[in-house]
Amino acid sequence: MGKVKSFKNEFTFDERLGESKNIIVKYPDRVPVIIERYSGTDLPAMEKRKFMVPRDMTIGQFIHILSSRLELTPGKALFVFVKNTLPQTASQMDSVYESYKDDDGFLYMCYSSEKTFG
Amino acid sequence: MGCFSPSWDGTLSPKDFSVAAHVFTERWERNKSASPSWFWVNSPKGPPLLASSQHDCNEEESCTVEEEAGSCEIDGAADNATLVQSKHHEAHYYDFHIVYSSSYRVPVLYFRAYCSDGRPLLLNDIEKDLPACSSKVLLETKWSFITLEEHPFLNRPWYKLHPCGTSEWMKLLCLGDEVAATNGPAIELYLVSWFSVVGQVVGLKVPLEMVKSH
Repeated sequence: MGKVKSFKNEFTFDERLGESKNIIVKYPDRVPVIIERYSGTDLPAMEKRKFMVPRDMTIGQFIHILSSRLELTPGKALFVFVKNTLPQTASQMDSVYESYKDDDGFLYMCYSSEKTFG
Repeated sequence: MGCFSPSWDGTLSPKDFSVAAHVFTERWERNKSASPSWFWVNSPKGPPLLASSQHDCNEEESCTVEEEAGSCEIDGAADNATLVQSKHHEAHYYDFHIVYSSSYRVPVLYFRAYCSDGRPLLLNDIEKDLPACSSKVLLETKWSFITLEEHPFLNRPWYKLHPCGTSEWMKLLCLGDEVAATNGPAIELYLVSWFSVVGQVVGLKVPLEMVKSH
């Protein structure tokens, strides 16, 4: 079990840092996010893993976009987490980014499908 | 501080529970934005439990905590123009307990809810108090497995979030971190991570700063 470390494996730290800086300079109202699939989940892989998410978008809205991109069957839950926690759906991308961004300037999020209670 | 092995199954020993719960309360206190506070309650039968009460709570919650108890009697042919609607808003009180379950080896959230006059709230009323976003998620993802059960120490009926999925999603949260994936997850952050999921169900927030590494 573990996250697929494709993005970090493919590019060096300096390449990633340069890219995230570029994005922020070009799009100051967005945050660079890498979303990767948790290995061992039966969810499909996403076409794209790099997102530039508006800073004022909430986690809930972002999850909604992801689930429509993944074309999830109804009833399938999407569990999106950052580091060790499940971010509040009401929190803004901006504050999540500032709290959890990696040293390379990207925010890494991971998705899986998990039943939570019951 | 100790770590679990990478092949960890997502559960916690009673001793680890105490360690993690102490870190949780300590970080919770350090964040002024976090309310209400948690305190230890000694129980005669097992490891101590963490308790917290929420009265009228934070701003966001206060709109949902208040419940409209409309009471108007309508006689057969009441004239709308003269009908006096009496509405009063009543505060709802919530008590939360984090109890270690020896059978599932995970923390479990127990809670009860009552009005100011002590009248207990039924599940229907509680559902209305849940944050709008999570009650929707609750429906979709069956997070709603809230059952009325006997509190393990108090022998009174309390609501409980059923823990049978807990170890699985805890594994997901704790082993998803790259450091954790190689060294094993840190025990002391277990409750912080756990509460980021469980707290959302009942509308209690974990401040983002709590999870930051130091």
